[in-house]
Amino acid sequence: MNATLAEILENQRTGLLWVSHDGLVRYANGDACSRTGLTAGSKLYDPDLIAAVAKAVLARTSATVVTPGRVTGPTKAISALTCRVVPGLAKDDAFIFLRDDVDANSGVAFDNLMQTIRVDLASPLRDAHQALSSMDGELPAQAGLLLQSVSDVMQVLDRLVDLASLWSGTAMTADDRIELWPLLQGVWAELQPQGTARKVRVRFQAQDEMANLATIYGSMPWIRRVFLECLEAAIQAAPAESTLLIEHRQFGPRALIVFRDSGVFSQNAEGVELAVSTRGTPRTSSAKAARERVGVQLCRQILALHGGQLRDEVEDGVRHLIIDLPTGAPYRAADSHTDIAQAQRYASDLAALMARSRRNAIKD
Amino acid sequence: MKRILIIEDQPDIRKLIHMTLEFERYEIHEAADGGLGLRMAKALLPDLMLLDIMMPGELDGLQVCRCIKSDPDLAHIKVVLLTARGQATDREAGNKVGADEYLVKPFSPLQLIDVIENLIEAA
Repeated sequence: MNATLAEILENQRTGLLWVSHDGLVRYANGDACSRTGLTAGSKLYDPDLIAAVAKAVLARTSATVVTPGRVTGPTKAISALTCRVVPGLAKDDAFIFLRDDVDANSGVAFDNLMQTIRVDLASPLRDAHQALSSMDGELPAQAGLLLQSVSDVMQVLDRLVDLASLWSGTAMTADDRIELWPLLQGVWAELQPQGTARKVRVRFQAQDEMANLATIYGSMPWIRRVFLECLEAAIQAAPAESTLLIEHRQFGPRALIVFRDSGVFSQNAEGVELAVSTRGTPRTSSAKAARERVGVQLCRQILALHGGQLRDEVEDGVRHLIIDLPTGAPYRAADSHTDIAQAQRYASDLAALMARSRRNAIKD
Repeated sequence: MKRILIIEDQPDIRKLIHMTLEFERYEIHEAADGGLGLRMAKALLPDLMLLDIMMPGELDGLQVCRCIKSDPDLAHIKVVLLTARGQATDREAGNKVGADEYLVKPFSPLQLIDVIENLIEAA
């Protein structure tokens, strides 16, 4: 086998078997060996898997099969493996990608839980809020507090749902090209009414011209969400009639967005508001604190998934809130999908490349 | 011998491109990120650059291309953008920074050689 192709297959993040149409293993990477015990030259042991391979070879179609994994000890239970079978490079072979069945099932259970929260908790609460809002004029004054409480709890739930969707890991597969500075200014345009209401202005200051500022790759909607949460919190925390200074700094492969003198958002996350609520502050304050805490966690999770972090730093006695992100695309051990697809194209063109090279040599 | 600079962060893709170009007579150089690639371009003055768009570090492929095409000493270098992103907006972004060609991964090695030959002959 070509050394480069072997290296690509070995560095797959999942177990990978390269098999012929009759289920004979041509190649098994390290992960596949440890999960199945199969090596090059051995034969697949599960008839369902063999049938799926034959179908992938003949019909050029993909299939998913659950098969028992390797027994690792006399007292150990047999783990199930989810096998994705896809047509291979040549006409008579196929690839099998392996992963633990538990991983696949826990994802489904998590999705079901979130579905319950969205449908059975958030939706009725939203209906109640809508009903209360429509009766606003007819309600006694005390009901205003109730309406506010429901609204705050809804916001907490919305943030929890967003946070949970990030834990499932599927939300961060995007690779949008993001120019941070214009995105942040777009968010400010959206929040300007809040700023105007509090007479808070925002001044943006960048180290360099916009064309020279580094870009990042990731999820545009989620990075936008971080900016929205942070800027909103900074506007609310800033003294009325003040100016909020936001800087863009770049240090090598890191881009920093610095909300100067805006560390209050982080302080909330450390439980300041919780202490207040135990002294009998109305419930709305506690809900607001919970919303901000979940908001901070949401921002931290989004940034962590982009290889960045949210932190606060004290400089000359002033607390700054800092969004710290790596510039450019995230480092990836291997982009296996692209690698394999490119190797496939190379393999299919190899004969033509060699023929062309021979023709050129004859011409010379 | 014509000089080609490959700027690509994925070592396996770099190797595959290198292997493809080994069938032809080119002097091949490699860089693993945009910053290093730009410095090498200034030092080597290649005839053509194969430039990945999405790379870690300070400069991505689009920014490197913009730097090359806006520098009078480098603007003559032909730039082929290599990317997994094949949408119209991505191509538009490539055109905007002055790229000469745009190939979507996985690209055919034969197509790559044709593109390179055409650009170098046209230069």
